[in-house]
Amino acid sequence: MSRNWTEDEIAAFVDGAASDEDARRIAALIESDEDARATADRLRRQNALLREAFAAPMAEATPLAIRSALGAPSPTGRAARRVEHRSARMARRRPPVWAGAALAACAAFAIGLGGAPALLGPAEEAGMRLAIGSAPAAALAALERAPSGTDVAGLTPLASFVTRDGHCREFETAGDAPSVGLACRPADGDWRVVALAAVAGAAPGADAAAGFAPASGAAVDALSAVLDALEAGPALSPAEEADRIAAGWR
Amino acid sequence: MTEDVREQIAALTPRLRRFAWALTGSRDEGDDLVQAGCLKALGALAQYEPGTRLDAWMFRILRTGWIDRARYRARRPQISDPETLEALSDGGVGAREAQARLDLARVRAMMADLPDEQREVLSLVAIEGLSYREAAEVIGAPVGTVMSRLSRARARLTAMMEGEA
Repeated sequence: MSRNWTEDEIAAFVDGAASDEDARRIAALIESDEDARATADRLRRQNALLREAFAAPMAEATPLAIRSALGAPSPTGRAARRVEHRSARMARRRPPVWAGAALAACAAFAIGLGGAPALLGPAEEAGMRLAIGSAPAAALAALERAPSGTDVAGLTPLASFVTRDGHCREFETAGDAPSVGLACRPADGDWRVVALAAVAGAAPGADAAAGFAPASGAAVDALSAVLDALEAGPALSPAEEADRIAAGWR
Repeated sequence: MTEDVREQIAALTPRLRRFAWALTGSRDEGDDLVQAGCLKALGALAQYEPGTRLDAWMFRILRTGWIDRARYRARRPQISDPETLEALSDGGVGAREAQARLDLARVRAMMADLPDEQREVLSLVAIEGLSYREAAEVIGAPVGTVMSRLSRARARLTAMMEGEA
């Protein structure tokens, strides 16, 4: 019995390397030909197994030696410095003060708990255009898998917390209008943005014009209040966080 | 611009460590390789063409570093991680919950058993998701070479996996 396909063709299809024309033909083959389907399944399983076998570094903090190699004074970038600074403070949140962050001084938080978000800030101007509510697909990869301090597609988680209902991560977004905020997910649910603040350090006048009271105390109290309401513990250590990431936040 | 690329490399480190681990078969050696590769990259930033894939550029640097190292030392036993040795010597008595971890350790041992040139293309394509052409550029060989090495690597893996089952 002769077959009209080769294993390499199926492999190219599974690897996403087939031309459009070949991909259509192989896709149809996999529908109709049991052997072709079994081959595709085996190759997919093999790829997945390989990815899983070497997945551990994806959920770990970068070792100090490598961060150092990437150079002082910015071992893993500006964001990482802020993480160390702020996470340490978040770890002992009483009294909750974010000192030294121009960010906090000019932030106005938009807080939404439960189903009734109360927008207090220009959240829609945030770099990733985040809003209170379900996190957009672009933000999910970072929230789900990035260790704190790692930028994925413009969103950098800053710290992680265990809460009454699951987990929360404090994050910042990059872009022309950066923001900081808090996203949470229950063990069996999706990430939702529950607090958001535009970082408007560059244009303090805009805040006044928009009618905010950009007092640092207010912003800190607001985020602190959200974390308290969720019965959040102290910020997780990198190792604890890596475990949560590996476990899919369950 | 330099600062940008530096930060982009920092953001890539989880993948660089994953690739180096798959390549060397050892976490420690992989991390050493990444550390050296980062230093090398920062010293050669002028050679990086903005707009091209930074991950592929870094993979190429890691791979070159790995080959240089191999050249300067007697070939070590391919299996060097205690975890891998344990997996190989394990008589299948591991606790139930350790089974999955052990299976993955076996996959890593099989990977370490592949010839270097097969392991590198399999890592680039199956784990890192590079296209055949991108993988070909990383290893400096034609696309056809990537495909034939992939094919042989997979046939070998399949045989090893079926031999175990």
